[in-house]
Amino acid sequence: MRVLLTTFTLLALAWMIHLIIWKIRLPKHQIRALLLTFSAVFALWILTPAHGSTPLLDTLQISLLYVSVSFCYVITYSAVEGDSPTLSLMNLLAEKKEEGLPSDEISGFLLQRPFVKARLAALMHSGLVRKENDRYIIAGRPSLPFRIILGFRRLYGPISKGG
Amino acid sequence: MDPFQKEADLTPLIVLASPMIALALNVLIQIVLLRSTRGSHFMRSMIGGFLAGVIGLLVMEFTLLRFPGLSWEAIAGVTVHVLTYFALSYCYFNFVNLGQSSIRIRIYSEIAASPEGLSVQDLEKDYNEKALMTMRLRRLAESGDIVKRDGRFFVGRQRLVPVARIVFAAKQFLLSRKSEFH
Repeated sequence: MRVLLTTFTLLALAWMIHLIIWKIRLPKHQIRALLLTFSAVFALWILTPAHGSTPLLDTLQISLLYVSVSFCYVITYSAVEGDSPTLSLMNLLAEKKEEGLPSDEISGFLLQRPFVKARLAALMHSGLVRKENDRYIIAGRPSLPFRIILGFRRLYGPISKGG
Repeated sequence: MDPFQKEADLTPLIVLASPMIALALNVLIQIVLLRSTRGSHFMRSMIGGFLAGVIGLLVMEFTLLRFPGLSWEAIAGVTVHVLTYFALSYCYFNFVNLGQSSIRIRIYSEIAASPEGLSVQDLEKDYNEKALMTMRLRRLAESGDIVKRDGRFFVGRQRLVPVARIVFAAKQFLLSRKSEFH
């Protein structure tokens, strides 16, 4: 019971701090700030007397649950931070109810949310791709998480083209 | 009685690692299932892997760990492991799905595969904005999420509506805006 209570108290604390920071000023790099907040709360718990009487095995269980639930939150948050064209469209159609929307309004709505240009811009912003003479080329080595994703993806076979 | 304390003397590593062992089983079965169907049933492989992990975890909980009867402490112990496994599986699903469906990963792979780089025109052959939009609308219509009547689109199946509402409510609450276009 101690493992559950401690983990959810820490998660609630981290979430409240994240909320306070977000309400004061929205961080420029939100995912990074979120990871930092959740890590800082856990590090503070480990370093303070509150953790003192917790047995080692419980500490390890708490760590595993805390880290995995925190990652779940960060992953879910990335969907909140970004803008999913599909969910935006479903939301808009749900608001229109019986009235519905004509095709041209749907097209206009979706074209406002560019798939490719936004992703190319993100690749350039993160320094993975650069533009030279109107051509996109790879810039340096990709980051470790990116290499892990690509490496793991190759286990399934070649990556198909197109959306 | 604290089940973690008691089992710590006997099998502390299994107690701690049971969600991770279950995740390893999930990953292994998922890859085997996906490769055996030559990558054609991604979601089925994910569900298969997840269920294999659940079975593995329950077997470990109720045989290897030998909880002493049904007590609140024992239930809490199993709950911790199940929650940890679910959380790890959710992370794994998103990690794999990123490589599977992310347009960003696909674009990067294509640029990486072309030593001279790719022009905007090259990319537009496979990633044309209008074609992607049409494809997305077609998929939504095929799955019944949207329906077209008399030249107008309406919500069909309701399954995505609560997801969209939750995401937009969270966006409004946390970011004080409905989307990045507001």
